Amino acid sequence: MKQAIVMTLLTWGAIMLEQARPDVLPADVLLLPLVSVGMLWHGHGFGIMFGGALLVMDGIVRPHNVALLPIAVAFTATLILSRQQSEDGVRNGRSTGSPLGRWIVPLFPVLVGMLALFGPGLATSQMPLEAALSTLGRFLMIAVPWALLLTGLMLLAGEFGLRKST
Amino acid sequence: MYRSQHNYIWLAFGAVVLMNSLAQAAENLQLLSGLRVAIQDALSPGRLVVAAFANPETTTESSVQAMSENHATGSRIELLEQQRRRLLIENAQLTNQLRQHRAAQQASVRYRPLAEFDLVLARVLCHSGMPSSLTPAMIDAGRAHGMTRSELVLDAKGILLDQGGQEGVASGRPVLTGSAVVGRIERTGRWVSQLIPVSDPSFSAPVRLLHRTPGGTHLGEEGMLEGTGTGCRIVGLPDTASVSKGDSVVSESIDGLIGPPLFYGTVVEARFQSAGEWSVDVEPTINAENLDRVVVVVPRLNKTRVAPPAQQTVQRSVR
Repeated sequence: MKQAIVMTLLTWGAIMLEQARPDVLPADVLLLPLVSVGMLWHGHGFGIMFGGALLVMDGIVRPHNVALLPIAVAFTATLILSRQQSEDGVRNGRSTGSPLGRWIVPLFPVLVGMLALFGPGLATSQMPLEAALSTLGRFLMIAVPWALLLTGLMLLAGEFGLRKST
Repeated sequence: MYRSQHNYIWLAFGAVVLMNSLAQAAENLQLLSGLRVAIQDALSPGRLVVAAFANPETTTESSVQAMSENHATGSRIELLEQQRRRLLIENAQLTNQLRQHRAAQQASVRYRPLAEFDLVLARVLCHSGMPSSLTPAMIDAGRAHGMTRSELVLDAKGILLDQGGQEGVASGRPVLTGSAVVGRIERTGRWVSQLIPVSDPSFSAPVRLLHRTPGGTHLGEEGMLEGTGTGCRIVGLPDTASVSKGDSVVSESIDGLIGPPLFYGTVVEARFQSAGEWSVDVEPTINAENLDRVVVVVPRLNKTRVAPPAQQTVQRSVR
């Protein structure tokens, strides 16, 4: 419950920041990594469901978001968690995968989310290629370091036993 | 244990798909606008704080701009208030002047004109004679009143008005709309009358030219306006007359009586012919074909002037 409240507050802060400075922060650039890492943080179904609900809520607040985004991100996170569960890679909050993998894997939902965000516009040529590349570059410049920072925090929390799996 | 966790994760994913589908369905039904506004309201305070911290120069500039706008609005309100007071004083002065003027007018010798003009409002019944749907009813009504066929104007051609001799309309009376002449009453029945427009070849009336110059408006020479079928022309203008394109054509008299000038049309072509005569074409102001209501001018004697002496005495005492 505490984790849900914290995640809600962080989501509120992320959307608020994105809306306050749309010139600097493209839509979902903070939220997507936050929710992606949040889904993996819990390590069980609640995280998936709660993160998905937050993305659905974001889609309601900002209707420009594509409808596919929550499903795509949740599906990727579900696959990752399901694989981790099957490999028994998560034990009491400590990940036992390869060090590089532990840093890279949380980026997958972010990248899939980006594909869901920009893919339809590019495929239907609604968004000019130059504009899309520019936005995409800005998005990556912020989203990837932000996702890595959150991943680092998540791994650190796991190492210190602050992240508990049920 | 592993299996249940695995199922639980996929169940959560199913819940996300379900939530997303429900949200999309609600969005399509436009049920989410209230929720959207509520969430945006919840985001507003923090967003404003962040925006203020992120760009203090802009905020300061906007504050300064808002202050200057407030100051300008205050000055404008003060100016308008002064203007309102000035207008109130002016209004009071004018009201006082009007009261004094009325009092002086009442005290002065009353002028009562002998002849006046009644305006009889008439509706155009038909533009092409008596409509066949109305003829039998008119005949029946006329028979009931013991009228002859000629009093009913059943065979009239042209524009038919719904006012006749019963209302004082008589042949030769000018027909107006506003202050522009439409034509003249040609025939009158008890209830209806026939109008001939100014462009009709049988129409003629004494007119006068009105020159409009930058220095003012000047009355010109007299002539006779005649209809040509499609427009009008002025004949009888002396060769010394000054005529130019754009001159107005106004009435010389109303049914022989001097009255306010009525507008006939505008000079569209004025040529001085080799025979020493003017050829002046006039475009009528009003096209009678487009009218549905007109006014017939009926001159009459002022009843207060022509009343028997006993009645005049009563009227004076009543006044």
